[in-house]
Amino acid sequence: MINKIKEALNKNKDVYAWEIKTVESKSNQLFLIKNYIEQLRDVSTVSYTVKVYNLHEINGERQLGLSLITLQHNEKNIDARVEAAVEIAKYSNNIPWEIYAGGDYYYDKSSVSDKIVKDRRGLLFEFFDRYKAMEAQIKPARYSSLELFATMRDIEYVNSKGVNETDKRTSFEIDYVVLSGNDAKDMECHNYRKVVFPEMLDFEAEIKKSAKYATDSLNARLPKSGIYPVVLMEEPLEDLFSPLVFQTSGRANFQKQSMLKLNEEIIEAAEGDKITMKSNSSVKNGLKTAKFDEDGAPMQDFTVIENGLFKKRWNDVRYAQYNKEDHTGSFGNVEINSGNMSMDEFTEGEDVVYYIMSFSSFMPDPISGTFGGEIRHGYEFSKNGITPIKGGSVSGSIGESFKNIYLSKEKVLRGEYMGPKAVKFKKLNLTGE
Amino acid sequence: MNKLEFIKGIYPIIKEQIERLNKKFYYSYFLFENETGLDVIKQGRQEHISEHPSVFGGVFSVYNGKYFVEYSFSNIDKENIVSIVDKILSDVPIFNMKHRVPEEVLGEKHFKTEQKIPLDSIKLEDKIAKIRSQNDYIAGKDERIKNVINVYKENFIFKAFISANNFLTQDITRLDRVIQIIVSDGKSVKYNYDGISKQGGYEHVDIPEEIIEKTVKDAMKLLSANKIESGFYDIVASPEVAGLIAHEAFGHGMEMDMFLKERAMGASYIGKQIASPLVTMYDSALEPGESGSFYFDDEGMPATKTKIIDKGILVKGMTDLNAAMRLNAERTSNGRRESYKRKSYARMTNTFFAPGESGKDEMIASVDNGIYLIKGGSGMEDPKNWGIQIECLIGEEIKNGALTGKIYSPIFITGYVPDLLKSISMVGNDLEISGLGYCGKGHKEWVKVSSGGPHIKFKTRLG
Repeated sequence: MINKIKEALNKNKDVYAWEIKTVESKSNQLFLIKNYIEQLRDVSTVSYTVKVYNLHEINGERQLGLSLITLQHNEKNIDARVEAAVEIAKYSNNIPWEIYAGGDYYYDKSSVSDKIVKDRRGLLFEFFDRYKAMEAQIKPARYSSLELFATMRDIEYVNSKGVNETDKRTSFEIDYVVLSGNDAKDMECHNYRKVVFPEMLDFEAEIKKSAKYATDSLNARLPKSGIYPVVLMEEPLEDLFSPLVFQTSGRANFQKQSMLKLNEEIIEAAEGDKITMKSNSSVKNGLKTAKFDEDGAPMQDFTVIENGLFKKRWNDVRYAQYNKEDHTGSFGNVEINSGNMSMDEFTEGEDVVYYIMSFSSFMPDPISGTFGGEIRHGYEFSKNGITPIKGGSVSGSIGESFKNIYLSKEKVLRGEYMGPKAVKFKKLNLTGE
Repeated sequence: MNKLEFIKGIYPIIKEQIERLNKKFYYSYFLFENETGLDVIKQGRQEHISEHPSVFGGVFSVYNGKYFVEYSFSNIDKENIVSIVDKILSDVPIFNMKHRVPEEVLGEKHFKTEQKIPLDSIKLEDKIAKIRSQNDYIAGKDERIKNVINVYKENFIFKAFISANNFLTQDITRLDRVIQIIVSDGKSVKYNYDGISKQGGYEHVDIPEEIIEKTVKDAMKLLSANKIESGFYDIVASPEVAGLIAHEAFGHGMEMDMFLKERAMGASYIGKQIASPLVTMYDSALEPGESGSFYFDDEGMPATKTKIIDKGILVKGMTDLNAAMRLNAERTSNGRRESYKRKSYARMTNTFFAPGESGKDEMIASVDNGIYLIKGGSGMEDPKNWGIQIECLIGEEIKNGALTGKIYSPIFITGYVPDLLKSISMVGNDLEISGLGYCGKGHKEWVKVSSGGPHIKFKTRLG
């Protein structure tokens, strides 16, 4: 199929450059309600995404047009589809850039679980058995639902400059809800985790922790309103630094969506720990660990923020040329430095500290850097002891709240985040009682 | 070959395979999906003009007496279809039937969205010219505008449902138009957005001038926006924010797959007062032109309108096939999938509060000290405990019955849903439905929905 597409692209004189990305995906999925099967699914798909480039002139200026087509496995009219894509590309006018031409070394990354490759359905039922075995151990909590996804993807990238690379990636997702309580008062804890290697996920520990959170929530109350020290742990950490990833990108710079300036402090008058942020595309079990990026270029490790200073912008192929800066490739897993304090020290000298493990939703705004969320599960640490909290909200912004940020010594890898296991904000706005 | 001709071409093969499956299983169906479209996106000096990534594939679904088994695949040729069915017949066990599968018998029906001005009657260069000139026009309005993102998206969503009793197709056309304006005063960067998402044709291409003006003005106001002081406020919410409340408050909580999972407090409150008597709320896939509408859902159920709350009383919920079957509940057209690759769940369509009798000005005049919530953002459900979280992009201060021009951003609404809904003291006589958004189940399974309502007045906690 790829040869047929290449043939159609190469014989069309109006095609300036092209890229083909083939993704063959096989996924098995198991859905449970309480402890019975609701549905079993088997998914097999192949897609061919073709980018077609056309170079043309408008008023004497060279312009590059890009058009994208998705071809099916048994596509009958490849020539006509390519022709149509070229015609569309002739209409779009962009400052020209050259697609990736290769020449860099590709490292083989560890991003394949043999268990997922060999027996996905068997793996799902192995987890189902482990789930059933845990049921008695989590009382008084009980199960609500569980969803399991085991997916394998074979990816091939080819372009008109001779780059041709393949990669295999796997993922395993668990998405479950545990309940605790009775008819009068019943609480839940939802947990979603995605990993590359199912064997690196401590499933039993996750379930036990969720059962504890659900049961603790039965005695939860609202946090106080005001400005308090707040420690974020677990789920919120996965997205906390996402505005910094966007703001340090060549795209944000070119599109005038970033206020950050190279070689300047990312946070003015910071009093807490200074942040170092790296792109890590090699760590085992990182969701962004991969051999190559969307441009077919090798994924690299690099530092964008060092000790609070914006050192290097990251640029994919297009924006490296637009910004006239180094090409780094896409951003990998977000690696943040650890700090000097242990998590135990976060409560020292404080009357009250709030620990938050999950929000209803936590999506910091990439452009403005503001963030906030309703508290799903957390604890208040005070002289009176440890009290579960639920409800109310936290709000802040990267620019202000990061002035007093403290990073724990302890580290964690979660999704595409690797860094401090806990992050303390000395002052954060809480809305509660 | 067009999409309808394609599916009619393979219909005899699918029908034959359904008959084979029905010899072993209690129920089976096939859903075919082919979504294509055109994107014209202008973003400052950059342009993206292209087909948008298409979706093409199908799913066989069978009920074996205990649970459903589904095989999704993208290779829709005869040989592969037969081999998938062979695999289902050999691999999937059969059990004694625990639940009867309810299905409406419709026979053969083909549905298509009416386009007053067909999208294919307009030349591509004319569409592009409109987007380019609009971008230049907006960008020239103020030197603080740093970038304008202008989105034009044509969506052609074709689905076919084939079972022993039914052969249904729907060919839905939707046009999405969005402008996002990025502004900076050198100290910070802010943005605002608005637009239209309607089923139909090119008649929906123009974003009204007053919406563009307001989007630009509000973006500028955001540069000097204040942080709101935490506390309880009297609120007047715009139809957009009211829609978000409808969606998050009692939308998700009445998706009845959540009843099976014991995740919805609403299950114990059917027939009880949970909101002010001024509140009536619907979910309806039947609303003409709205982006969450369709003719049948992804499990072959013809479109329905469900009254969820009637004058403050919780009436009934929305079902997918599995929930209707296991709960022995009325089937509604809410069985929806992100695509053929994903499972269907009970999902909302167009969710909105019904209008009342008050005018917007009357509502603002009745507030001594409060906030007019103008622009929504995102929200999250908590059906188990009736918590609510909504992020609003823009709110304006109300003092002594008048808007002061003082802007707050962002604003987070949190609280207990029945408290909020019972505090509704005025319901506007207007009704607007906005369909720009997508809705997730938890943090995934995105489907197109709309939400809306009239202006509403209530009390809640802001932070």
